[in-house]
Amino acid sequence: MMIDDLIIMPHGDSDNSQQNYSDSDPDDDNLDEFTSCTCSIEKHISSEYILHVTATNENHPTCVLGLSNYTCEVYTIGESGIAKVGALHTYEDKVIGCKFSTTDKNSLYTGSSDGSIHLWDMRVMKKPALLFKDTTLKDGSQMKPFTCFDISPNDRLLAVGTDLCGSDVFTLFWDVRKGDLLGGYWESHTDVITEVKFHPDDVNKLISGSVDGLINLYDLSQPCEDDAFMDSLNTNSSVDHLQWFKQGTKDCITCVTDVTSDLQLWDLDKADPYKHLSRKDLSKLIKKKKEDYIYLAGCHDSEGQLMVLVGSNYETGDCLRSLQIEKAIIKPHFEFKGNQQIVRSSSYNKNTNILLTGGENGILAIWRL
Amino acid sequence: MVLSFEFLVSVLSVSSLQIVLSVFRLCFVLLFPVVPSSVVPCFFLDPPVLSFLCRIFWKVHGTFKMSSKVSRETLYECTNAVLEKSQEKKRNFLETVEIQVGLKNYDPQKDKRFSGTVKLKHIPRPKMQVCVLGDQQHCDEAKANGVPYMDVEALKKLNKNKKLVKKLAKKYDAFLASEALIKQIPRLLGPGLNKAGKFPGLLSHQESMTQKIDEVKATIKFQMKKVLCLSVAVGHVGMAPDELVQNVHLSINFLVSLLKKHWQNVRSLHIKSTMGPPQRIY
Repeated sequence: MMIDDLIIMPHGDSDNSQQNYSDSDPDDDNLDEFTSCTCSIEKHISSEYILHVTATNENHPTCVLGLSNYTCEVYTIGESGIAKVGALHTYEDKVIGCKFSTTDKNSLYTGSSDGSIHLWDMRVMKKPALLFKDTTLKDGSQMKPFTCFDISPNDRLLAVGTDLCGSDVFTLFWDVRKGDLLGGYWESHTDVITEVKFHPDDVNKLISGSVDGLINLYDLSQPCEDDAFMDSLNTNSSVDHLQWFKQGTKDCITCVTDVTSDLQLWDLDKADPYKHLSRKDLSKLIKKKKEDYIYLAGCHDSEGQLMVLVGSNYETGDCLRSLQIEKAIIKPHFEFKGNQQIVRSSSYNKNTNILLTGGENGILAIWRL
Repeated sequence: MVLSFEFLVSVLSVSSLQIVLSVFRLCFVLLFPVVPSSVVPCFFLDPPVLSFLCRIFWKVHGTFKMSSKVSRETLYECTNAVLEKSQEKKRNFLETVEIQVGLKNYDPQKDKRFSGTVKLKHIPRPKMQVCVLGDQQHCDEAKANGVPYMDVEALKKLNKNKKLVKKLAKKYDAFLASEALIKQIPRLLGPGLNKAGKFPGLLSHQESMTQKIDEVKATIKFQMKKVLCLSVAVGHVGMAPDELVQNVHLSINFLVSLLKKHWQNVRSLHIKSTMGPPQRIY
């Protein structure tokens, strides 16, 4: 039956059936539409992956990195280059994030899956100012592994998302000033919470995203979860990252769904995303012929526009480009020349126009856009 | 020629015969690029020539379409073995067929955990019950199609009562809701459906209800947890071998496309029914 041998498979209506895995990753011809951007400073920090990058708002920022060897390190970025200031803490498990307070540039929060979130005073780096831990644990009860956290814009409230704990996942809240655990929600998600994000202006609004595919919106002024649970957006996939942004006066959310690397843009009033970019769409937009290696490296809000970093993880992962999304119009933006790694985390400051990227080759790169 | 082939396959709803022809045409052109294409059609009438060409083509382009790693023969062999085994010893329930994947070169501490959904060609869970939470129009449509449905009034009656919502969530495997309703669900039902992992998907007025329900039934979810293996149900033993093979193939391809280094991340692939022994396909 030679005929059968040749038609390998009936061609499904999904695009996946048409992929082959030949080993190349060609560009589309027309790359002129991208503005070329070269790296202003870069430094090889570590042989580990850089998983988290955060920085202060200054023109010569202080930068904190979360590495894959469970440590957090502090660097300063000056005219002359990148200098190490010191290491903060070695955790017993994965670092889940590091974030500067929005009100005080000397306050830094770092967290780990081992169930602890630290608050640091950057002037006294030897020892953490405060430690937030789940205090409801009794002997023998299972520790809740943290997966993500966020600080409210007024610096009062800390929200933490957890991994599955039995069949429950939790969103926990702490009072930052007292260090007390206030309580938590555990009814609205069924799988690992991958991101919690406070609204940038409204202290009472929180969104959480999970592997179960839902984005939940809570009103934290309400006394209990049933009343606080305002809305659920069903992405029909799993949520990896969330980001608030504004479109005119409307609050919108960008959502990166998991490894399939789809980008969804949601308007909170609607029941489906107003824009949905699949991996294939993204590969077309960044002018790659094939979608097999495409990954989404990050989304940043810059004054009504959205900057989306998209790269290709083919071989050394050199290719990194960005797109600019304004309303529903998507334009090519930057080509990051000389990128040398798969980017795992990035931090963008819209006032200074500085983009920091960190990734799997342990390189910290500074791009002045 | 290559373009026209892809165009044929992907864009037009071509019959399988046309695909066969275009595949032959393509391989012919690849092998003998100098021969004018007007000569090509006459060869199609000659089976020995065809067969010969195919054989050469198969040797040269072994990776065509299907990933080179799992041949069609192996796939059929294993699928049939799974089905035969379940025939030998009939169970009192419809056995599920799943694929199990072992991963390598993958560090769960450093690399991203992954999950994703894919729509299969054939419904793996035919018994799945989908309930429509609809506006007037959708309720009428559901009634006409014999699909279970509820309207706003029925939901209001549940009165956010946790027990009643839980009972509702247990009764069905999945929910679809009209746009007008989906936004009210948190208010009407509280987080009950979320807790059950059954928050409804959106049913718009632009798409056909039955089609959407089939889509929900045919969609499966991959998820890797802390360990380096995962399994996913792709069908049941009541399916024809062809259908099962198509589902397995689609799932494998999707899964591999999710992996950072594609096939280099795959240690093993097995296919098995609920009670039967696993069959190794890779």
